[in-house]
Amino acid sequence: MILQSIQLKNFRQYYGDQELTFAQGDKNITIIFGVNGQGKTGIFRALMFALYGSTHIQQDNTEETVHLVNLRRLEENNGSLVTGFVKVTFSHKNKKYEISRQLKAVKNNSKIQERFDRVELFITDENGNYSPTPINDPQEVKRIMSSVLNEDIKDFFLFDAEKIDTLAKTNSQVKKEVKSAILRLLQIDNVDKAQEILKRLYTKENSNIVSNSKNIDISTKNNEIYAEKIKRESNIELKDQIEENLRNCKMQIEKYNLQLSQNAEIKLIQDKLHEQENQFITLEGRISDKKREVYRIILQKSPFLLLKSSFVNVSNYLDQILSQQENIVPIEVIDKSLSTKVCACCNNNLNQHLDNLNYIESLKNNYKRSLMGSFTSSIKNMIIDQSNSYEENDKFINLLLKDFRELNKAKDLILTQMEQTKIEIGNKAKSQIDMSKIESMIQQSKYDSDQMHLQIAKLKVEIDNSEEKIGLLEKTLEKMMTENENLKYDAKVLEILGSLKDDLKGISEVFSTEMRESLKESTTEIFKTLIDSKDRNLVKNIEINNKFELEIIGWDNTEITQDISQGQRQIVALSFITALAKVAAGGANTISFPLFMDTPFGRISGKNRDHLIENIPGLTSQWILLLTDTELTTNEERSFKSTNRLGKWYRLNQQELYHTIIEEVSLSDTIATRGM
Amino acid sequence: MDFLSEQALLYTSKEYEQIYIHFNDKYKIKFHDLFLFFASVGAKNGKSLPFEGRGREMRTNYFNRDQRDLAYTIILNDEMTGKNIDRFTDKDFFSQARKLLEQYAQGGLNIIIEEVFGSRWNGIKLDDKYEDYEIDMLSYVYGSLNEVPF
Repeated sequence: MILQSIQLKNFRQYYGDQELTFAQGDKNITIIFGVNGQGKTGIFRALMFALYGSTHIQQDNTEETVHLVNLRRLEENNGSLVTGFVKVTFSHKNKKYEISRQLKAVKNNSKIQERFDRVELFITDENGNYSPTPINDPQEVKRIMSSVLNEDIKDFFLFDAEKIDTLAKTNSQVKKEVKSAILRLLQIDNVDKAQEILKRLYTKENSNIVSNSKNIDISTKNNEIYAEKIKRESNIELKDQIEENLRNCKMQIEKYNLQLSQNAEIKLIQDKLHEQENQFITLEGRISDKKREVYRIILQKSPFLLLKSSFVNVSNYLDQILSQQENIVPIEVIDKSLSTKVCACCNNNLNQHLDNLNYIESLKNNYKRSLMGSFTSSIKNMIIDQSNSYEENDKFINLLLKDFRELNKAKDLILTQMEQTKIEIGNKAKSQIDMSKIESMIQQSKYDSDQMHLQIAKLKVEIDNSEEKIGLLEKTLEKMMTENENLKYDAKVLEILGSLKDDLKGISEVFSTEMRESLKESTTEIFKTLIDSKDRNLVKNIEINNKFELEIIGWDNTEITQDISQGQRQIVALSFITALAKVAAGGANTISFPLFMDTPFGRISGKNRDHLIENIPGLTSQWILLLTDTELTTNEERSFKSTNRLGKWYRLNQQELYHTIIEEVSLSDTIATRGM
Repeated sequence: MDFLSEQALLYTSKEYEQIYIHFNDKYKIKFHDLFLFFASVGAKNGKSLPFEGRGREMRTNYFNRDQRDLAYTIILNDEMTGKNIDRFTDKDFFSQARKLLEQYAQGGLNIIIEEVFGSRWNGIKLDDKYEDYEIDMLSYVYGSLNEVPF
């Protein structure tokens, strides 16, 4: 299938007539670039509507109405009919198809009524024969479209990349849908159907024979077989159920382990917080020491520093007082001289030298002044000491204040860091539950898982036993029938049917196994091409099990389907889709369907984007991308241009609300608006 | 002469008593140490404030030798009342000298309230939650020691 062009008229944001043609051949990349809300998904909707008549796409809530006719035109034509129209032209297996669908809508006041009008399909065959009358029957159109690209598998090729990772998910309903779609694409479903028909025929024939035989032994034997088969089916069903539970249990264990590892991350952050708290405590201690030092200085030093200017004044005053004092003699000396009547200084007999006695007595009278000597000296000494240490103390205060400011700054910084760390913990801890609770749940789940393994093993033995028993019983029954002359012909018919059934089963198994092997090899190979080289060895194989489920096997042979990132999972899904199309096309190098992707790079990292851009054009016949500004930065633009595969380049330009114009851009122009 | 070495009493004002209590309760700062700091601030700025109503009391003999000498310096530097060493033996003068110290302490504390505590003093008590009064007081001291005269 090669998409040629799409025409839109009054469809979604596209007011009036708009058209774009898709790139093909060597230059097979088409990029439709538009910021959010300008109509990228409108193009995707138009394609789905034209090809399949879909009014809703995967991302829509199917219970809500999606208006497809342009709202601006409806507003302008208030009360009158407006036609919305989409025509897609494509080719497939040398035939050319033109499919168009039309709808009519009317707006009365604020209510919009919309209804499907008609579908038209024109086909030009391999020889250029053109049918002038279109096919209008929706059922016929549907049948033809299914033969081109079955609606069930269209989502593999025409998709919103946000949804595609469902392929690698383990939900059983999704698995069933994916499996049936894959079987259909690979055309294995017909073999399965044939098997089913033969099985029913065999059972019917068998019961006919038994009822016709009127032989109690045969009837009993048949009942035994029937009972054993019931038992076997019931065991198979039970085994399937337990296997499903086991898978869920394993997923649960992985989930718990993830929670534990998140706890481990929290533990690391808590350690960081603990270290910050210790730093904070140390700083608080140092600040507290500094404060004690500050108080010491305030109380013991600063009063002396503050009074420096008074010291000069007081010191001068005291010097003046002291200079008026002469021959100051200590009171003890005076008292001793007067009591012994001998001068304690010169040994003069005071009884004989009355002048001296009078002088000493006058000294005694003035003793008050002699006390002043020691008093003023003390003050003077204090003044001298404090004046000498003034500069030193002044500098010390400066340093102390500086130290304090720095410590305070460091404290504020660590406080901010602690706050940030706490926020970090808070964010991480939001989804946390008690660790010990998780541990015990893991233990319980592991125990349950072991029990389930035992049950499955036991059921397998029982199923094998049943198989064996059924085989023996059937042989006995067959013998009984062949020995019964009346049943010989019917038994022969049954034998042939049985043999045909077994042959088909064998064919189906071989075909399915071969297909799976091819798919597995191809998916792994493509994945290794698409993934960033640093992650290439992360995945050893992508297995496809007998239920056609994807299993991603890591480098150490463990299953890592649930462990890889969403971006990586999308690449797995892309690889699988590409491989699927290749296998379906009988191993052609490029897939014969276009890959149409709406916003595909959202979850994919830069290097992986580059790999996809480099390699997908070589794997598919057409690659059509609806890209937003964050997906198509100057980096991606450079990568696209360097592939030399870019064929068409469009920009969605919103003129006003509900009026977007599709503008073709020259391939040499720059379109990206980000990352300049 | 060294009359402060005797067991005489000094008083803070009732008005500012809570400030002394705040520092004593929170940081075990002794009243007489704080009193002398405030008296120095008052003396440096020549601000003595008479007050009525006595608050905390403290004994003068709690001062050490250097503190007493500093207190005498404050007294001797006061031209009006204290600058007469002959009166240092006069018992009548002792109470006047103590009053002088008390008024300088009151004046000094008034300056600290205005220039350091600011709104953290609500007229009754200091804001308990604030933790850096000592840093602010030391910054004030450093600022007044290094004032650039103009």
